[in-house]
Amino acid sequence: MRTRKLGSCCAQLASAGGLALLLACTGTIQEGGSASSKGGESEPVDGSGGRGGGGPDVTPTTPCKALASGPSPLRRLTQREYDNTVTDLLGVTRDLEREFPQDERAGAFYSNASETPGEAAIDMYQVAAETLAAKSAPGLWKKAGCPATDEPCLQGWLTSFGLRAFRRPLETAELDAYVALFRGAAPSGFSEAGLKLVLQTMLQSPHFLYHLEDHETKPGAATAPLTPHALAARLSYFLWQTAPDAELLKAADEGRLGDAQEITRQVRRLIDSPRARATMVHVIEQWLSLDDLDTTQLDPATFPLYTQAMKQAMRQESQDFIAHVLANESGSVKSLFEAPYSIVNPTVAKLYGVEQSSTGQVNFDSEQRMGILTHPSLLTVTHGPVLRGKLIRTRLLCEDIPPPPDSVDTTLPTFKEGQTPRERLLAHSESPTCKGCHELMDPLGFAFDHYDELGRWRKTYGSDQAIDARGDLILGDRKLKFDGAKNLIEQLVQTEELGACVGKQVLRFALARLETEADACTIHKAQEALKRHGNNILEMAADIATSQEFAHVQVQQ
Amino acid sequence: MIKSNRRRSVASRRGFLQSLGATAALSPFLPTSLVSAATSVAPKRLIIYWSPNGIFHPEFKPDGGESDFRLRRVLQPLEKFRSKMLLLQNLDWQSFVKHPFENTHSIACMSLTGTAARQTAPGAPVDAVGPSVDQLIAKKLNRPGFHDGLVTGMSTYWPHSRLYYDVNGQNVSGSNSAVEVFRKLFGQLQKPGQPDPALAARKSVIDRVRLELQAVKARVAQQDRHRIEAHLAHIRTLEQRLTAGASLTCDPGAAPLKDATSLPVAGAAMLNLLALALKCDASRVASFTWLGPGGAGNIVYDWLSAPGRHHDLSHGGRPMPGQPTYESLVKIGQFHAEQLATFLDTLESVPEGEGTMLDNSVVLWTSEHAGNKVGSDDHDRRDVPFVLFGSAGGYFRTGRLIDCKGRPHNELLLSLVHAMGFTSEKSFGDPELCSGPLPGLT
Repeated sequence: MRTRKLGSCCAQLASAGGLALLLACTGTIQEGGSASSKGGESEPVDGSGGRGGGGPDVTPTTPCKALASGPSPLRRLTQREYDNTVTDLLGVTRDLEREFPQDERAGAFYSNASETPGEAAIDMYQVAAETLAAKSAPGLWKKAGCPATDEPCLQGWLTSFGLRAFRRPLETAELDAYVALFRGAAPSGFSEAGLKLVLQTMLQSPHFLYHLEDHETKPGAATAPLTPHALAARLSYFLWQTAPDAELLKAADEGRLGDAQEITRQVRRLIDSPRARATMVHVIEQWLSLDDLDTTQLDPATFPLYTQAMKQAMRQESQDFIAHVLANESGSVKSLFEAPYSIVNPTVAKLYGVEQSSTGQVNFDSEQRMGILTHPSLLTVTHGPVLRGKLIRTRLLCEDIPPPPDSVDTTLPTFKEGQTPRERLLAHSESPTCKGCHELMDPLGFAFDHYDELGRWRKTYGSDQAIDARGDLILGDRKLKFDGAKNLIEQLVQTEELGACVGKQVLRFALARLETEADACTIHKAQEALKRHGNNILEMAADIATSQEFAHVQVQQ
Repeated sequence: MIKSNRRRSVASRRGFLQSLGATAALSPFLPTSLVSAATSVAPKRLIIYWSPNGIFHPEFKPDGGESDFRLRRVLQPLEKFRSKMLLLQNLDWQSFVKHPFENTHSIACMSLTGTAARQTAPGAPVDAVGPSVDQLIAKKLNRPGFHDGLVTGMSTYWPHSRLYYDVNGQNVSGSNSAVEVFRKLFGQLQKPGQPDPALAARKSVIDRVRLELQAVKARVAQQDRHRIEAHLAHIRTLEQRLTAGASLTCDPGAAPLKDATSLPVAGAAMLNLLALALKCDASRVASFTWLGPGGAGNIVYDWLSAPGRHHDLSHGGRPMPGQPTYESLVKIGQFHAEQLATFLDTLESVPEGEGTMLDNSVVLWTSEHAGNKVGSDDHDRRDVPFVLFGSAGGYFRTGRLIDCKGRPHNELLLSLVHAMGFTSEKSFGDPELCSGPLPGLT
């Protein structure tokens, strides 16, 4: 199997079954949250040594009275945010063949919150700015309708455009500087050439590229409220992944965003829009690593069905299914994991062995398929028991799984005659160095052994070896026995831990960072909100957006 | 970089050459309007030409004596360059002997660095611990705004090709898009003799962006300041490119509008663009990597009617002449040789001083292991192929076959550094493996 990592291809090509790289680990594992204060994944799921998704233990010990917030690092727009913002602002799209360098993640979600931007990114911003300016300037200049010497007209246009581009009113000095750019472009008067320059500048400006969360500091206070415009931006980028629209900006301009009822009104408007559902589809995709499908490689000789078209079809199925659940099942997390149907397209239908000439709902034998955890997309991204177990542990239970220690040899042992793939991984549960982590992960993955690397159902391994899909789900000092994927999923969905983790994950997306101890109350509130709204993930997101915490930042030096 | 899956289209040789000639910018022949860089002494250039999975040893290894060497089938397409080539046999990756590591394709990181390999955690990438020869020389040339150290190739996923490392130990990614590389090299070009209003305009944009970044830097939290500083540094690089680009006096012709989807056509276009970059002095050190090591290079060369995937073929034992595996490997090797020959032709066609641009350059063709060498294992890091073309302005005494008798390849890499004019360097890569350049080359 050709894995994403450039690795021991020769050894792995020789081995059958295509099991993922073994992980091994040492020591005992704390239950629940992890000891490390900033636990979380910095790398994709595929055995690349990243840590799990734990985060600090954030059960609040004192009642949540004081407003507290973890530190908000300076974030650069993610690729999706950039593209959406540009489309809404300019009415043109970027040439999507040219990709920005990969966004940095905080846990599961793209964030660009801590790394320094590389030269490639800054270079791409320049290329994108010039292309977009060239594309959009003629249309924008025509619409602006400013005569060549009419400075008030130009200032008016710049004021309203700048407000949308920078997500806040331009300062006087900025306005003057941009008028000067216009002048510099053509001595004879304001022209489209000037507009092009201004667009190029604004699209490369830090005020455009970064989320600069202006706030009003009060002496001695640990947290500060965001300015109305900064709050409008935060709401809009959380729920719609784009810059605030005219109505939201107006509410900010007119000082109405200080009023809790107004915020609730605006959030309701945003949440009820299809754009919020589109955002939530992407949130769930990132949460479950489905966007890693792009770089997940399987040996083409063993899996000829796994083409680029199939990858796209797998993702499409999951996106369609999530969208369906959001629109038709009240965004219920329970439905996400337990629905006995999916939204199947003709290409991915091949993996299900069903006839499907168009995209639509297909009901399955619930013994074989249950919700998104049995989607080919997720099963392929994880392509084996260890990574499947790890995904459940880190992404669904928010636990931290450290990488194997340096001293351990993680090469797969060679197959012994008659061994099942499960037996081959026995070293994990027998060796004391491995057991601590692997008994948490592997059994959960074995529950899915009826699905091969591409997520196709199989009754046996190979032609006749029986599959044992039983195991224990270890939660703290509890052990829940399960037999097979369906049984495991049903039990998982009942656990407090899963619900709590969902709240944490969505909050991570909302804040685009990992939580710290200071966020304990905020997380608790989100978790309660999910319960209160019958597991409706959209309503929970609305509660997060309307919370006081969301409108504040931690004051930093 | 384009994130595309290339269709390896089956094209006949004739079709391939026709499509090469179809677009002026993709032509193997340089536009005649090109004005060469007006220097009194032509600069020296280094090009790395890297192919995966070894160069098929049974039909690669040259025979014969120092000057009367005989080229086998793979090197046949390069016969006309015999007086300008240096064939180096029995150069070993002593870095691998001294620093043993799991012998996977990841060890390719030693190819141009001569250091140990390191892996920070299981599953993490395997990396060298020092710069690659191209990046070191690029740094020493110190021409801000120019494109020394340009990395190109046909990879669609650059993390697979961990061959190039800068002086800070960072892996360097490249571009597989001629459209993008052309823009990078020539996007800031001025028409000779005319002040370009666009240049002033671009400068005013950069100036304003810089001002805004500086204002933002003063406002952000202490912990984030270094990130804005990094951003500012990159803006400075854009500005340097503007100035450097403005100093170029060549006419590169029309920019390519679209990248070819077929590997041989796209590869040829990129090589042609590199030749242009050298000619214009936009770059003096560049690399072209067909595909990354091992599985990353595991394609079918179907346009050659060479069945089998390259990586798998290279592990197909010791095939005999006439067998399909053997013939496929020969064809693949010849393909790489032919493409190289075309590139060398282009360099040769540019008169420079008393010779040609090829004479002032050195082109290194190498790969990751000895390639199905009889009597050795599949990933043999001894007798790794290294072939030089061009004398780098008279530094190398070419037209010879040299038996390096197991010397470390670090010494060759140091020779390249010296050839490019940096003769005060005492060592390259692991210093215990290298106390001087490779003897016998000059």
